[in-house]
Amino acid sequence: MRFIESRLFAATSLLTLATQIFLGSPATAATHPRYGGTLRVEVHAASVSLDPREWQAGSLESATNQKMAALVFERLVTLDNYGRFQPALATEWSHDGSNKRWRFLIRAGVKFSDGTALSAEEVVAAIQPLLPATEQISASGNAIVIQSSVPAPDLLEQLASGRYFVYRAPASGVLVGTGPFVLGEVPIGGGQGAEQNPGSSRSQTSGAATSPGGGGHLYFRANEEAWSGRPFLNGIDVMLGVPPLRAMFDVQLGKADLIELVPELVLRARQANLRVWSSEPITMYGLRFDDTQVAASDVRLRAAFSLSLDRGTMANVLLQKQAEPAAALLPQWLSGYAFLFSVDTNLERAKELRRALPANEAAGAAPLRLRVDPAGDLAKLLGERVAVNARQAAILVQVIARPVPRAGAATTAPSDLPAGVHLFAWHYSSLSPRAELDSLFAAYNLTEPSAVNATGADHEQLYARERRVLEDRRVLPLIVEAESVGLGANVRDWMPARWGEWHLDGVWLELPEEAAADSSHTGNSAVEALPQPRPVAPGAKP
Amino acid sequence: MSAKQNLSSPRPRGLNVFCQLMIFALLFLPSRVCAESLEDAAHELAMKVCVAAHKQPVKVAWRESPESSGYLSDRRKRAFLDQISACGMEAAENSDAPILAVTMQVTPSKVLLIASSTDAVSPQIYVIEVPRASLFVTREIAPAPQLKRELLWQQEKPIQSALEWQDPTTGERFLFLLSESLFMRFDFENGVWKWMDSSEFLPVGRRPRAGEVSLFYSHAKERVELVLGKKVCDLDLTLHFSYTCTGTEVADRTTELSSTCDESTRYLVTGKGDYTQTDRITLARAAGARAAADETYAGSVDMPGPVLDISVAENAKTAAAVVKNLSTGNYEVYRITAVCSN
Repeated sequence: MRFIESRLFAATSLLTLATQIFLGSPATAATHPRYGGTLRVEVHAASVSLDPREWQAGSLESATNQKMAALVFERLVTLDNYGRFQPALATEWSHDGSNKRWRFLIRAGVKFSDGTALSAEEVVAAIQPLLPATEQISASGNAIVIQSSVPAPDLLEQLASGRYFVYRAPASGVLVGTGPFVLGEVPIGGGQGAEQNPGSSRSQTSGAATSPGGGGHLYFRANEEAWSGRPFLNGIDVMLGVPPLRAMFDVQLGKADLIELVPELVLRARQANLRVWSSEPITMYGLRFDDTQVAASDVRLRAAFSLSLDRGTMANVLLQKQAEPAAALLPQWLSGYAFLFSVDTNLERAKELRRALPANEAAGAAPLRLRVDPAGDLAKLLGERVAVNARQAAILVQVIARPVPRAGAATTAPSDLPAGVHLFAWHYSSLSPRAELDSLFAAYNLTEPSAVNATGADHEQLYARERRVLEDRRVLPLIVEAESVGLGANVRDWMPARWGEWHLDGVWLELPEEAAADSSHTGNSAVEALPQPRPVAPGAKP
Repeated sequence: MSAKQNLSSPRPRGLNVFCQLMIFALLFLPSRVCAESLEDAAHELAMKVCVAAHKQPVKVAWRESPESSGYLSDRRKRAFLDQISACGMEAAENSDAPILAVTMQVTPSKVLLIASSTDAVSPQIYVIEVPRASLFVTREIAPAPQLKRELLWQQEKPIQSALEWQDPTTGERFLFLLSESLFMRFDFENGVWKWMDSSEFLPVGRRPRAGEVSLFYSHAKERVELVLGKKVCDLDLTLHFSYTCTGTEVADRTTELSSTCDESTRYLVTGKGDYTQTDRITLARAAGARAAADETYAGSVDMPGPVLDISVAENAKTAAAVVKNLSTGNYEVYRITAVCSN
């Protein structure tokens, strides 16, 4: 806290006179939020896992999983948009001089949504399976201690992001949290969203809906006992598996309040005067080479391949400027040093390098096979673009895309031929550049020379690690893509983190006056007016 | 005949010896990459460059990014240049010298001061990290005529409501704050607000959301009252803080002020935006008027973030406005005073 010196008022000529203040009419600002309503959210993912232990690092699915999990669970600390770590389930923290031993005091008086009190032991049980092998966690009274075998100056960044949620796993198997919402059932006829969107009034169990054709729901009701205060919304109705174009129509027609926007629809949404918000680039598309094809193990071919890639066209044309060309593994907003890497397209040099290679390498009957690992049209388009670029440098590339599932059609198995190149997508989820780089290297088996310090968290060391790996050209970043959402006109206080967290606990809906009066939260009496959730189906696992 | 003029500033021999000792010490000490302020960071970055760059002349190129705009001030540039100069490196102006690019970059939790040299085969970089939380950026906005704002208090923890109050019997001035679940009391001593005491006004661990609680002064009862979930509660500030809620619901909330200028009633109103936007407090002639759109506008003052609450003091001459500063994330209390222009 800082004391601000108060100054005396100016001359008497500047004084104003007082008049009567109405009894019981305190002054207020016009921006006060309102309680009530159901936020209708539509996402592309057909299924969601709320169990952080199951999430695969870097997967595109983990982005939706994290957003949904953040409604139910909380972390020990959070990072605000001003770069300050804020207490969440931990109220205080300290570390030793070597940054290896960290102690977190657990907030008192917090309960999980099943009524169990939050304890240090519960935190240990939740976090232990999520920590890397170098870190051990233990309970010590009402505190937890994380002991790292290497200095971990970035532990707060690590714990404030990614999968480091605190949850409780009761015998029923349904994870419970302390967050602002509780996974429940869609109330029949309850909530503003249910009234406006007939589709959302269907009764569902709390398990993750997995219908690939869309239509699955998750319903999160407000946690009345949340230590951080009851959220403004009565509930959040999440419709899964909604095709992008339909989602955009839904928000335009007032059938949805918050939707995910694919890059190709962002421009169109803006032209339609839809409220659009975009994050920092949080997904990287790149190429990685492995030795299953001999040609891919030749560093000269990889160099020629790299020089042939036209990342600018990919970002500006294919993704309609909703992405940036990527030269580094970590994005600029996360590492701060990505600008030091450059990507050059030099087709003549690529051709020159190619000519120096054996003529039968990646050519004719033995093309270099490029497997497109992520699902979706965007990845397929990028793969095809890569093949076109490579062909211009006389490198023949055969694209093997994942089959697109069609309703009623039998799934076709992808080609079993070994692929020397993979197009991959990586979703950044950690606010610790070191943790993110570690995950990426581990996921793709990117080995580092023993001379490189692979445990350091400072940016000079991280830069050196990235440079070494990129110089080997076993992995080639292509583009980094932002995430965009479309917002309904009545969504207020949309204050997401620029790295993609939605922060729906602070959002409220500008409801019509009558509806707002019906659903406003005015102390205990209003709680009774809120939709009462039904018990979660036994055995349902989120 | 020709003459040479040494344009570089003379350096005392003692300073050179000192710098050499510092460089020697840096070589054998564990590297510290985290500075406490940007001035320190500029110094430390220069020292790092000095150690590694073998004192060859460099041409320093400052590169600003949109995110770091304002961080790379002339003072910090000067601190960097002075340090490399003191270490014996020449910051050359001619284009032949290798370029040392210096930039500041902002990540979610840190500000990085980066120097990169492209002279070597493999680019060499030097980085000093500064926690963003240790930096404080202020944005001054000149007050508009007729309404004056004065910062009384700021803190990182959320403030729901604030009220200035002068005890009619003793003449002492107080500032009351509702911050999370705490009622906090300050008195004005020697020109500063001094903390007196705090009391929990909600169950331990519960936090009210913005707009749920508010302080106000009731002229009819001549006492400070609390609004909790739209219910009016009488405050007892005598010894220990306590309150009793009567069940009376508050009416629509307006803020009335009168001006000596024309003796008409004025209202403080705010903009219609939400908590994501900066706001403006306007002195309007009608309670229902909205800032910016109202033609009866009598003066306004821009605020550095959304206005969360306004409470008029017992003298009705001033109001306390709670604002979340969107530049810093801090919660701030401003005294709003209506003044007559000439």
